[in-house]
Amino acid sequence: MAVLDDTARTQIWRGLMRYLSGLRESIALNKVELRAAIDATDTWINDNQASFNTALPAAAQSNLTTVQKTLLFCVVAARRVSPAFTRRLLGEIN
Amino acid sequence: MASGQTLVTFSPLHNTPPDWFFVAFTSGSTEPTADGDGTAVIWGDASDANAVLEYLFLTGGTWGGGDAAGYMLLSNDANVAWTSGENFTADTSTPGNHGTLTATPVACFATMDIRNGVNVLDFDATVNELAMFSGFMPRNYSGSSGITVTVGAMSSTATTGDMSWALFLMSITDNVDDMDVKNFADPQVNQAVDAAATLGAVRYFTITHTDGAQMDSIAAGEFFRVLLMRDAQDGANDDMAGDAEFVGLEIKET
Repeated sequence: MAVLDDTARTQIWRGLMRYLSGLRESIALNKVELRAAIDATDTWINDNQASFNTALPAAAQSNLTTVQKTLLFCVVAARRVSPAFTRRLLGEIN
Repeated sequence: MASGQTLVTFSPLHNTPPDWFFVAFTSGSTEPTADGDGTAVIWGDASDANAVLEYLFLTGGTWGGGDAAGYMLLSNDANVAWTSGENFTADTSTPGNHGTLTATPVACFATMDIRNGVNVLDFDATVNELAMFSGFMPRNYSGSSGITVTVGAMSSTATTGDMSWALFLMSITDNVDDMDVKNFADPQVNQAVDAAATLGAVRYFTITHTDGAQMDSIAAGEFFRVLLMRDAQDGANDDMAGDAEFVGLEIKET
């Protein structure tokens, strides 16, 4: 998987700002700094794909597709945000 | 009226959300004029729709040549037919490539919200959004000293960064101005309004209009319109992340 293109990164940037605005959660970053953080996150994920893959158990390494591994990464990270946020991705967790 | 006295105030509930759209363009010719000249016609496979060109913003090149680029503020309820790649011309029923839309239209009204029981209008961080107010200029306006507009706004999420704001005025003169095509005067701006360091704190900032052209020559007793815009696409000056929340606006005599 390559890094996301500029359009996709912009979509994340806009969506994240609207999401945080809806929460009225304080962030001490400006638009430029937030966009740089998104770019850096995407680049880091891209650069560390192999490391993540190596960390997975052998069965998952060999039997999950790239998209399924990405989803796995996302939902575990999402649960670190909150259970409610994870439900928005998965429908239900219990 | 004495200088410094309040003439009129507007709250978020006075807003009439304009059913307008921004659309990016590149220029192929010399029309329409940079400050709007009434109607633009969008030409494409599915639409030959008339729109009122409310305002035109240049982000690059020089208007009047083939290198201009920017975005147009258009009002028209047939926008669903406009797509990227369509051409536009002006004030004619004959197709002509005076420019090309480079994106689909984006709705641009500030949205109503409530913050801790207070009505606010949310202005987006990436799309320029508008609020529109209207009223009569009080009879006690002197007609000579101009006005100073004070705007109160919070941030939804940011505690750092700057906002860029523009305020447009339009006079409606008796038996003269056609409200279907009348344009706003050039905006006056405040391009460096700091976000409050404390979330939920209101920042007050001013935008000054001298009497005459900057006010579209609004006279005492005349109906007028106010257009407030967050210039979120002002990449040099507006870097505050997330929404700006408008709480109110005061017009006083300068």
